[in-house]
Amino acid sequence: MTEKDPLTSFEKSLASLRPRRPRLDRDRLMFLAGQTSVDYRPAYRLSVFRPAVVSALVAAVVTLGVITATKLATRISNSLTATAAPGESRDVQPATVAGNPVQRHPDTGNALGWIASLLAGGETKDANAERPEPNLVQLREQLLEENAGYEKSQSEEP
Amino acid sequence: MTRISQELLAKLLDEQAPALVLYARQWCDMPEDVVQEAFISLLRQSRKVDNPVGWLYRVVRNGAINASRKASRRSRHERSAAHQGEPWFESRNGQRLDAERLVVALDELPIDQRETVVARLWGNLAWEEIAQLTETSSTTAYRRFQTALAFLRERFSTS
Repeated sequence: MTEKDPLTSFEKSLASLRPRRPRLDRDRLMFLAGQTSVDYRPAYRLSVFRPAVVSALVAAVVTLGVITATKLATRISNSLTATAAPGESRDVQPATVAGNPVQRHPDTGNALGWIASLLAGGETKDANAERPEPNLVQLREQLLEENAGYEKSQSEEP
Repeated sequence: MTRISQELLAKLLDEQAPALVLYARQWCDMPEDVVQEAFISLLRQSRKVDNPVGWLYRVVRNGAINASRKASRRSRHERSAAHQGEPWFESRNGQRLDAERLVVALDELPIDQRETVVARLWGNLAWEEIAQLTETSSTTAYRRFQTALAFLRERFSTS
């Protein structure tokens, strides 16, 4: 089976029959061919130029978005870490009870500050990572002791 | 990069359009519309088509199959009658085979054999092109062709 195998006589007889000439709109096709040949070059340039322009615009928008988000996150992070009452230290000290640190449960502001610091390129360590796990039993006992001491002092007053 | 010029289009219309219409006729009753649309699609291609003939046959095949699906279902008898009303081949004096008998015989072939015969004998497509067109191997295309020829030869020898 090759392309050069000669047609048999029967195949030649079949092939000698010519398909009927179709009734195509030849004029319209030739007009379209001429029209597309005239518009070809500008379309070709545009088809090459357009993706480059679109890609550049998308890259610019994405870059501006990232820069804006980073600046915004920095502002948020700074505002959250700098919200100290007058007279208090800017360093946020963990609350303590009888010398034992009390864990601040993460609230909205704390989580937002973590995200903001992440975007701003800050350290991502957990704000509560250095704080010891709460020992609620010890805390209860300490509160009871303090309360008992307070009541005793109250009862001893004249 | 070049696209379809008017000269190339004229050549394609003269040499390939009749065979393309015959090829599309294997599926649908309006093959000229399908072929017309195929040429329009070719002209609207934004990129160069390396093999316009093979491309046209693929597009015509897909268009004809879609057209046949859209058309209302008709019985095989009605379809054959419609075929006889519109000649498939030019009638010329002295031709050895009866064109009308050939149409009836072709219509009795399975579609895969029929399209292979049409693509090979009148489209002059290569076996590899037919294989790509019908999504088979060239060996399968050749086997279908030979099977179809054997049937046609028997039909014309017994008549």
